[in-house]
Amino acid sequence: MSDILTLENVKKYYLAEKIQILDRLFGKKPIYVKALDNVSITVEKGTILAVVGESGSGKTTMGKLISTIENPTDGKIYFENKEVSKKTLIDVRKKTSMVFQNPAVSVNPRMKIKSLVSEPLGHFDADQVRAMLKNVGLDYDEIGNKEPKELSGGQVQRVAIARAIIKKPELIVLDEPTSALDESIQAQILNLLIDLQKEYNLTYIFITHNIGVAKYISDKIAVVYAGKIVEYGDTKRVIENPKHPYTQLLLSSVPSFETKDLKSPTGGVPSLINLPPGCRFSGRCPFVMDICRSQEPGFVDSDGVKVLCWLYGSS
Amino acid sequence: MLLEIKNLNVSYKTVNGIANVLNNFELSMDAGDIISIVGESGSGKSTLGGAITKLLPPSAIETGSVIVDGKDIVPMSESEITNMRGTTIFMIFQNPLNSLNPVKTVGYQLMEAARIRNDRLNENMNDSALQKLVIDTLKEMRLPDPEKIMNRYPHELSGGQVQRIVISMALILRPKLLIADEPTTALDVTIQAQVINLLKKLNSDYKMSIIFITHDLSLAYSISNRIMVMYAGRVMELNDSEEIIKNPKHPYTIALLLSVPTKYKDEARLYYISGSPPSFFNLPKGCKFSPRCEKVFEKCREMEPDLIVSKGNSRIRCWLYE
Repeated sequence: MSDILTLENVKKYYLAEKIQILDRLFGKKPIYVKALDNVSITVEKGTILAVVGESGSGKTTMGKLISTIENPTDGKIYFENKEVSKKTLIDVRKKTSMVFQNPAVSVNPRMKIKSLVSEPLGHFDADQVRAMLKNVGLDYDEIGNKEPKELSGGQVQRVAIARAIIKKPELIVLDEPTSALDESIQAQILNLLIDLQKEYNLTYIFITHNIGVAKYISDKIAVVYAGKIVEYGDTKRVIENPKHPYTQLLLSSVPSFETKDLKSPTGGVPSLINLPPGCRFSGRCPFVMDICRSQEPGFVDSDGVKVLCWLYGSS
Repeated sequence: MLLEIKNLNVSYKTVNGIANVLNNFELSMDAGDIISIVGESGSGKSTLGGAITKLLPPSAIETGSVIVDGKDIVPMSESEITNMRGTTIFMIFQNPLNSLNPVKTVGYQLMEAARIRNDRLNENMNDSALQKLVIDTLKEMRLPDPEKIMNRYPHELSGGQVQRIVISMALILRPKLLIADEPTTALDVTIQAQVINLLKKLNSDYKMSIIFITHDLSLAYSISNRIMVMYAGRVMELNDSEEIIKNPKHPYTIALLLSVPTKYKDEARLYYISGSPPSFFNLPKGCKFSPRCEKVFEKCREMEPDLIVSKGNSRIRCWLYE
């Protein structure tokens, strides 16, 4: 299988506050929020990668960089083995699309469903819109002339998905597409996404905080913590045998039908402006060692899973 | 008996007519009980929470009785219920930022709660003693730097911290009944686990009863002794949480449980309930779940089943178990 997407040492820093000319004259140094720091990952064509993590960990920033809504501060992104640059941007955008969390605010409330779905095409094509709506389980004659507010949340999310696939993209970034929906509707959308993925051999970057959803839908999982991928590997391996202490705690804090006991890491995510030296999880980690507080670990291969942790030796 | 709801009917007056949301609703609860109320959106969960706290919008028409701690709150006036709010009934909302005043510091609002407790329980504490109580409570909530947090405004704190501030308020006031309406939906799983553990601790340390409203069945299982499944404003099944999860009986409960993703995609396809919950303006005849039910038969479409009480805590509304 070929690689569709490669991120190489990608960084994304945001300015914490605006630096004015006067500030610059007085030599004030800009303060950065390190939303993503040195992230490298390769995604194979036709697979589903789930990106999981707490809020503020950089999941959405990663999605924005992949769908070229934002440019990386440093590092390179390759799409189908070509570097994403100003020259190739149009081509990349044709082949990627995005589905957002809240379906009601991600579509224009004054547009009719049929125009919403055909908008990415640049022209109106009733047959294609009809086919796409049918793909996502909606009927053109019934809802084509309606506005988003007349549909339920699950239906609008279907419309958003139809919009995302109408141009036959290769890669879709889905940012929490089901977290605003009820569980029974979520199940419908997840099944639909899996069917579409098989039918068109799509690649998904599925951003979610719901471990159950990530476990169900993905082939590979990347666990993000404070702007870094801390564990990356096959979904089954990561879920059944989590290596990184953060992944272990994250999994044990998920409520399940097996146990009433919930464990969770103490404290919160560190500030992305003043990151602790060494490992970013060291402040909350139950297995913290001296080296963790002073030096940042590198990726280590452990049973086919990549882990960013000193517990598994140094690379 | 801490809470006893009898023949509760709640309807909303709207431009489209009257929507009858809760219909002959009954529930009773002992001190120290934790009960979860689960169901899809629009099943009447939050209306129930509002009815118990008397926080329903003005368009609501409420009849029946809601007896909290020996007093019926339905006919109560606003000033009477204000005296019960806080120390008897306390409600935690989904979005914690909406339940705090954005222009007052966290400390000011917590001190306000502490003074109310002082007045109602006649504890005769002075301000510095109250301040110490508040700071101790914040420490117990494992909030970092309690003294500093006291001087912060709600927007300066993270969602998880604000929710813990609201729970600290509950801890200061020690209500007999705590109603939590989706308190962790806006939070991360790790923070959610912390909040759930705190609520469990409040329950075991102070015998505080909790009504936990959620749409997440696994979360309901982890916190509660009993689970009530609601659909279209009706109780469909009520049982010990262990029984509901391990041995569900009502077709709706079974379907809800099956739609929670717990497996890998190559193991099993996710089950889902076709159709959507009915509108309260246009409820189906007979059993309200019948249009979406897989085990539906003739009788279900004709007549609505009653809530049958069987042994122990178990209650079910389904013709299959008549």
